[in-house]
Amino acid sequence: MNDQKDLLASKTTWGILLTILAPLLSKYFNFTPELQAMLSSDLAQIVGLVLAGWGQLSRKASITSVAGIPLNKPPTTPPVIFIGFLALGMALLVGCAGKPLLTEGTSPAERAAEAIAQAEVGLTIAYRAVAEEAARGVLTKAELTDFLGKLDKASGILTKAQALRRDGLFADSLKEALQSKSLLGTVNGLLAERIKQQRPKT
Amino acid sequence: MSAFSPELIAYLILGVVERLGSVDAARAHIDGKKAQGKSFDVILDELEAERIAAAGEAHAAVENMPDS
Repeated sequence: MNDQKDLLASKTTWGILLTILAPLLSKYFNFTPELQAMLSSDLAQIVGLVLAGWGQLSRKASITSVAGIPLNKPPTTPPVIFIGFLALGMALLVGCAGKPLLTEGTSPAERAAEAIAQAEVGLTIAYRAVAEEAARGVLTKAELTDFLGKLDKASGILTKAQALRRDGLFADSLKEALQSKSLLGTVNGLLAERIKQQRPKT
Repeated sequence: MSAFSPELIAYLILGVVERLGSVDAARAHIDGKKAQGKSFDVILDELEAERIAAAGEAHAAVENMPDS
């Protein structure tokens, strides 16, 4: 048990993720009918549980890192990674991979409306996450202020997208909304950097 | 000492589930507006107002944090 490995190299991890995410993926994302049926069936979860059980029974190494990030300080690392996952989930689910929130139409007006709706929801979730983190007190005021600055920039672009939509300039509106969403996605990079900063000095 | 932490796994899973819940709630929120017969324009205006309100709350929460 003295061997070390990454969390992502663990069969148990992938088994747990498959078990939990299979039904959620089929609920939130569009796949081919065959894959959709497989994900929503019990089979995917049973395979996940078997994989997790097999991983535990054959366990020979301790998990000491997550995606290359050492876990020498587990009491402080989880909350920070938790915040990273907030943004990751937000970007994945509100981003282009998610099912439409407002309209499945393809006219310029509808495409702009859908992009704006996704960006609006993503930013609102992000702002609420910041308020929650301020109450949690894991990150410093300076860090959250920096985080807010980036969100405010994305928010400003989105306000412009809304104005262009009201003026009937749907192509320009769509472009601005996509830029806002893209900027929102860079929040992941910011948070990943913070996770790296939490790494213990070796 | 094994660095494998059940708490870490729980945090990761809860983080994903919490965001799923937020998006699910947002989707239901928008569906509710559509069910009321509101147009895209009205819904988008309301979403914008909600985003601005959330931004205000976030700024206030951070502003009230101690400096150190």
